Amino acid sequence: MIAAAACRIAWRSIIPARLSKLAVLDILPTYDYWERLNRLSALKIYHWAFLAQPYPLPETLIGGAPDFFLKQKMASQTKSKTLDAIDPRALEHYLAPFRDPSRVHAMCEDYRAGAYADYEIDKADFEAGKKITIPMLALWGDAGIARAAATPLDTWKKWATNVRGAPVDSGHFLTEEESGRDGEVVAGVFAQA
Amino acid sequence: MLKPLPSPPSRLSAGTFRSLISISEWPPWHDVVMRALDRHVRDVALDLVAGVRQLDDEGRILLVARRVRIGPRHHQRHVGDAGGRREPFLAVEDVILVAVLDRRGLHAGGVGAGGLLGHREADALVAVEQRLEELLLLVLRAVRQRSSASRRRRVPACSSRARRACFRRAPSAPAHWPAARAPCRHIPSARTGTTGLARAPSCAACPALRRAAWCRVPSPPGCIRHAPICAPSRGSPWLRPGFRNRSTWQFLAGFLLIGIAGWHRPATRQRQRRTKFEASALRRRSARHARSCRSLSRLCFRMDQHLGRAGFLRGVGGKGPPLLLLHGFSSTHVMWHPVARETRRQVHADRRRSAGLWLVGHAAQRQGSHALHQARDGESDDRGDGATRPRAFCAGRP
Repeated sequence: MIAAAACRIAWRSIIPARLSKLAVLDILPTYDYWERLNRLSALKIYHWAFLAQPYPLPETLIGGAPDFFLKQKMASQTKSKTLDAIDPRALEHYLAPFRDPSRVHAMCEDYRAGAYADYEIDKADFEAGKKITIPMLALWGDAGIARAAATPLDTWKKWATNVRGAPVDSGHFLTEEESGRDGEVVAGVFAQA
Repeated sequence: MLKPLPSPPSRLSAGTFRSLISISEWPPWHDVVMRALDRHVRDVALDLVAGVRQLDDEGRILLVARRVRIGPRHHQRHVGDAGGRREPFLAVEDVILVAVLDRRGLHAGGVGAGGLLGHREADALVAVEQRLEELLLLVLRAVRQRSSASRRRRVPACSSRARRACFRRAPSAPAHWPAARAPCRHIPSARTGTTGLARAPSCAACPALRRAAWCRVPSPPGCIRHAPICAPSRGSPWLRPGFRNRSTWQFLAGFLLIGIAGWHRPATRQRQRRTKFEASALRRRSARHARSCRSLSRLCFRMDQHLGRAGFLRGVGGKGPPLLLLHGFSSTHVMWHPVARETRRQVHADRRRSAGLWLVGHAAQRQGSHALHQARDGESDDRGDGATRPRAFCAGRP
């Protein structure tokens, strides 16, 4: 079973013989993100295009003020638009990679792959009609970024044959926000899995 | 399918290959091969590289066992100036493999010799028909046409050592050295007479020298001063480092010192060695586990981008199906700590109810698990508030 906030990885890792279930948190397939990009969603997930810019633009800009970038980015993706829901010690943990230029470069490379290679692969799979057949659960925050597509569940139904899902009272960071319930919903889902 | 030939001829031409086929008596393929030979006797185009999947014009895969190239004639593109129209240096000796291209439309053109035959093409032809139902690609084992005995026979044609060196060093030298040629001139390569590589000038007596790009041309013995061989100290009056110029007692003294130093192994060193062995045993164990998780390697790679370490955090233990938690951009694995804490609480509650029938995820009980490791905050000092939290979240890291 995979529970993933990194959908691009999980979606590519689905090996029927080895994976029994899949849960994704506030995320859509890469293909849909790029296909559905419009004025509002582009403002929301601008980092998809920003991080995919050619080297060294994003690396340089982030490296100039890594703390500022991450805090702004995370705050804009929470429901309260603040960092209150994030444990300060966890935030410190998140900041550490952003202060390391090599890791920032790795993140940018990841998004560059998402903009080109992953998109092409997703598109080929989508057009070939390949679908996720294992049971799948899609959770999304009602103020998260998957809401960029109006109906995340319907979007996932195009990619999976057996999918169910529901919104959670949260922003993008389901496990930490969840309105202060400390991952209760997500943990409950896993416990029943 | 593979039938060794009784006595392969030393050289193979289209005609002899025809006879090979008839000798080998492969009834199902005989007609096919003969048709292919007849049709493509002058049409050989492609190189096939051994072990490399090659695509034909329609994008299908040609599988070739080894690089063998056989063409009807020398092609300038392959052999360059050294080829000409001369007799090939090497040729194919016997057939060892027949590959079947199983789809209509595949074509295999020429079969190349590559490194096996040297850069010259053999003049034997093996071609295949383009639109056969079952297409045959004959891959030939190429061997040197002339054995060392025949090469020795060639040597007297040019009696100088330079000539022999040319044959040894320059692969593009012609196979057949005409006996009527006069011995070639000696060309000193340097004033000291050091044996080395020299650009051979045009030599009327030695067309082979002109053909060879670089060949070894030693001077006459009278010009040669014994110079050191190792490059950095060439011509230097000082003793060269290394084993040369060392007397026997110097060697013996060195061995003695090494022996004395190696015999005594102090207690500290013994302890270090023991620790090293234990560590390597641990590494082997984790490597075994990593092999079992190999199919997730791409996943591990991406995780490592954020974790910045070799190998990804995982724990093995507990019961139930394994649970893999992946984080997304701008987070780290720490994002799962609240879930892990809650999961653990639910699991414990359930174990109290149902006497521990199941656990969620792997690593639920394992202390070494990063994601699920709990600790009392402030256990080791008074900075924490005493609550049970994931260890990474504790202010006073216990």
